[in-house]
Amino acid sequence: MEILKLVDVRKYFGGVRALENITTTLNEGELTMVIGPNGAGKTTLVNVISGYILPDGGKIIYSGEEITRYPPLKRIEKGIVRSFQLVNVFEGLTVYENLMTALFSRMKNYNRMYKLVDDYVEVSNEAENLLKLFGLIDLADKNIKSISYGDRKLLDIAISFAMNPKLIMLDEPTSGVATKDKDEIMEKIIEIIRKTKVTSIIIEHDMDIVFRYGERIIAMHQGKIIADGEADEVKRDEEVKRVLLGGIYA
Amino acid sequence: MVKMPKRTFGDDIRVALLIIIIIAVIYPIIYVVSPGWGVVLGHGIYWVIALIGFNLLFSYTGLLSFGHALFLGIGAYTVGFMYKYLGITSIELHLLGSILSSALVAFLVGFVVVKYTRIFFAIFMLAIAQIFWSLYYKFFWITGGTDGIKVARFSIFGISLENLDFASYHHIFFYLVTGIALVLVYLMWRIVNSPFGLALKAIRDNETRARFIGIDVYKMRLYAFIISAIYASITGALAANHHRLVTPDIAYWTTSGKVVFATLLGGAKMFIGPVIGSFIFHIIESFAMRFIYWQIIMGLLIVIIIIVVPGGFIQLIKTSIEQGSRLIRR
Repeated sequence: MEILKLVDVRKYFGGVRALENITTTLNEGELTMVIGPNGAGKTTLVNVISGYILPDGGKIIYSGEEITRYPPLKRIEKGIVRSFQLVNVFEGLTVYENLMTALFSRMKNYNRMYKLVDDYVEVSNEAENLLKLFGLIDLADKNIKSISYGDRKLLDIAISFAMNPKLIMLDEPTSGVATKDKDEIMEKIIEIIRKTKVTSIIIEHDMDIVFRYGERIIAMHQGKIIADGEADEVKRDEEVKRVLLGGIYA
Repeated sequence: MVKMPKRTFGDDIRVALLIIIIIAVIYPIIYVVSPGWGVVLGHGIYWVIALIGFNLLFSYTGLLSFGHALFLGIGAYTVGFMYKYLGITSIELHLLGSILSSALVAFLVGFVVVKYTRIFFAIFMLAIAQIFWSLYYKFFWITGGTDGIKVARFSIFGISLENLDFASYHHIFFYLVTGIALVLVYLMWRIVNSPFGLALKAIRDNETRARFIGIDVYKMRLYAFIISAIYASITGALAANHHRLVTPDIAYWTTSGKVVFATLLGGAKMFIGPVIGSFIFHIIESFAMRFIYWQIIMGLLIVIIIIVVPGGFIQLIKTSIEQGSRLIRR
């Protein structure tokens, strides 16, 4: 069943055509990897879907409803959640507090002023379950500055999952992470995506990861989709080979 | 079950309340020895309210207001106008009036100003506060200009205190503001440790991320702004009743500076910092004012604090306790 449809979506930054007539659909529960060289428009694509920036033209239809001009808050309420390329967590809070903040936000409790955070036992239990799911339980009371970059990345993604997303977009979830930790983090993410069956868009540069985990791959170049299909199909695409793979999988 | 991080003594509500209670207990002795110092403690108590309100905005929300005198002025002038034009002496109504008027002004000002952050917010607040100050100053036929508005002694629960001797009147005032401060400090502690407080800290740390987990950043800032304004206006209302005179000075930028200074002096990063800051500031100010160039002393002091103990007195106390316990363990 179709969850997201982009119709002729365009975004220009001055003379740069970041997105050029993007038309595609995503089905519920699908795991899509988006690949492309720097400046291909991958992050811009996530930005327009999440409402971080508005497109200059075209339509974004989510679960049958046009959301093209919706502000981020309204999209989040509908279950469209994203993470950012650089780690984006709350640095002055502990790991546990980061997750509690996201959970309160999802439950619309974040404007409650009198009851103490600790008194929300059910929210706390959910935070604990998420921490266990992401393997962060031992770091619960740690300050962000005292944990590794990889753990921060995981926390960042855990925050997104705390929002109970219907469509999650992860912008380079392993960027900046030590090579030895990349696989571990990606394994964890894929495991959770498969367990929760959430529709996912993952932007990734590492081709090994892309072709290992991607069920569907969208390749972009200069603001356009140059290939869209299953891993083997995209791998064999001549333009993808020329622009992206440079003979790696030839 | 995972819990929120264990609170250090600097964020412990019992410590904050204990400080105020200790002050209230020693107050009669201080007053007998020197009534002047009794009055200083009174100042210290009701200024706590403005400072913890300011710190909600500053330390917890990340918005530095250089114009908090705006709301102290609103509180004080509400009392002045209520007495001058309506003859109201009831302190309950004074407080209610100040809360309502400051909430209204904060809503109208905040509607625009919380869209800004950092230096833009700070300067915007300074400018608005100065506009209000000039209104009090220039519209003298309404506000009394620099002569101000005289306020009669307040009544409480319908009982007039007009015929009491000075000392008794002051004692009643002192314990009344102590009670109000205890309640408001406790309420603020609950606020900063509630989901709302957590959302404010999240906004302070990373506004973009907060927005993308569905927090309405604008609304949360506006709420914090209004609460902070109400706290400042209560101090303004109590100051008006204490001095029994309302002049534009309370709305001047130096009052905003005092709010920032006293908070930094105590330490903005811990909950009890402003509580300590209020008393230390008023004690130091009272000493310094014996000298003709007392502003120089206060200015030098803030320079020293920023350089030597940027975390304020509370940081100094915390470090001393930690080092002391380390020495004992050895």
